[in-house]
Amino acid sequence: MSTKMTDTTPATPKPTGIKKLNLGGIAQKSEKSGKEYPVLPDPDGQIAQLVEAITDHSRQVEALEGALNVEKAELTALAKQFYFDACRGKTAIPSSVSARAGSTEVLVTFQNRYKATNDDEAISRLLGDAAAQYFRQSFELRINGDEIPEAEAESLIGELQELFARHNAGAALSAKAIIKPTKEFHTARHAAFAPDQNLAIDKIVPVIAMVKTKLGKGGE
Amino acid sequence: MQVVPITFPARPVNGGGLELAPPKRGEWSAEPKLNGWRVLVHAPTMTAFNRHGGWLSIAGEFAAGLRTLRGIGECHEIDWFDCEGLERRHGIGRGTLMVLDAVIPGAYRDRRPHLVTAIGEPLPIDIQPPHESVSLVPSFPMAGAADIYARLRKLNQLWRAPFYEGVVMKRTDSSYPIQLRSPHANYPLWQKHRFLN
Repeated sequence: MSTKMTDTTPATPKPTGIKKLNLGGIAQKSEKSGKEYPVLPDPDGQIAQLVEAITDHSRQVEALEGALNVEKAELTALAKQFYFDACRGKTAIPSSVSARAGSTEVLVTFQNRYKATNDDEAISRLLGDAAAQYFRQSFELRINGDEIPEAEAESLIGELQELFARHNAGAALSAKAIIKPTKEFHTARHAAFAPDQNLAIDKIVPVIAMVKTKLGKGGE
Repeated sequence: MQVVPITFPARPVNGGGLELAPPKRGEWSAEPKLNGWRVLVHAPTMTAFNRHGGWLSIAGEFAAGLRTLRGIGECHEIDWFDCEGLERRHGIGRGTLMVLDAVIPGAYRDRRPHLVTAIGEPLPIDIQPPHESVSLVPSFPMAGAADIYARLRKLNQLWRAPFYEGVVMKRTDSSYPIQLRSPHANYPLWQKHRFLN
């Protein structure tokens, strides 16, 4: 025997929703509106205090950093001359030069790290045949995994490893895998998740937040 | 023959606002920092490069100035001028090349008189440079830098134009750094102090 169940609760009227015109064929404007940002509420003046403190301190840091850069560059230039003179002809060389003011010491360290250049002509001009002995082209090829079709990624990486192994260059290939949000996540998260969920997600994958100060053109 | 830049234009270290900057060691000069386009000029061929070493796309706007610099360069044996091109950002001195320096041997204190001889005395800071001309940027001893900085700021207000951006300080013993390593490399013997907002 089949029994037909009858729902006796009155039906909740379905919201009719906001009446919308069909704008299918017209490109719709996004909600983005230039540089109009929502303003952080400041009921007790705490935000304004922080803004003033950050701006003042940033200006001081900028000025101090500028002065420090100049002073360090001057000391380095003076130390460099001494370093090359003192190391002349030696094969065991010190890593640093000590600069002193009474009991205060500053080290000028010369690491085995060099800034890259593309000006190989200048190097050849200076060093002649020795240029090839001490300088060589260094390169790094990068693969953007995001641009590889997902279905092809595994076989492509496998083939790449085989290719490098065949040329005895397996060590040249390195990989770094990370988990990162999709391109859409940054905007979609606000529609897809509640603020509590977003704060919880932020503990695992923090959004990169920068405090930008407007110190004047060219300021950081 | 295609000309390639001899160097990237020297890029001063950012020193923040002058009013907050600690005192400088050594002897420095102050020049107004102008709001324009950095232009490196090869005078013999009238070729203009931007600060990245590429062709200057608006070189045509400085045709008159480039011709003038070719003549000056020939007479005074200067091939490379480091300039600020005034154009578009405000209405002052349109098409004018303000000479900031020259890529010639010697310290700033020696290059500067050579430039004054070649180009002529600079205009006072409160005189707007004429359009489509060549002019040497003024230079002041370090002791007057704070006053100049304040006056430049007032002139911007008076002219209602962001013509001056601050000052560029140059160590008087600084040579012009020639380097093709990077257009972003800072030159620590020059320091810029922009106006704070």
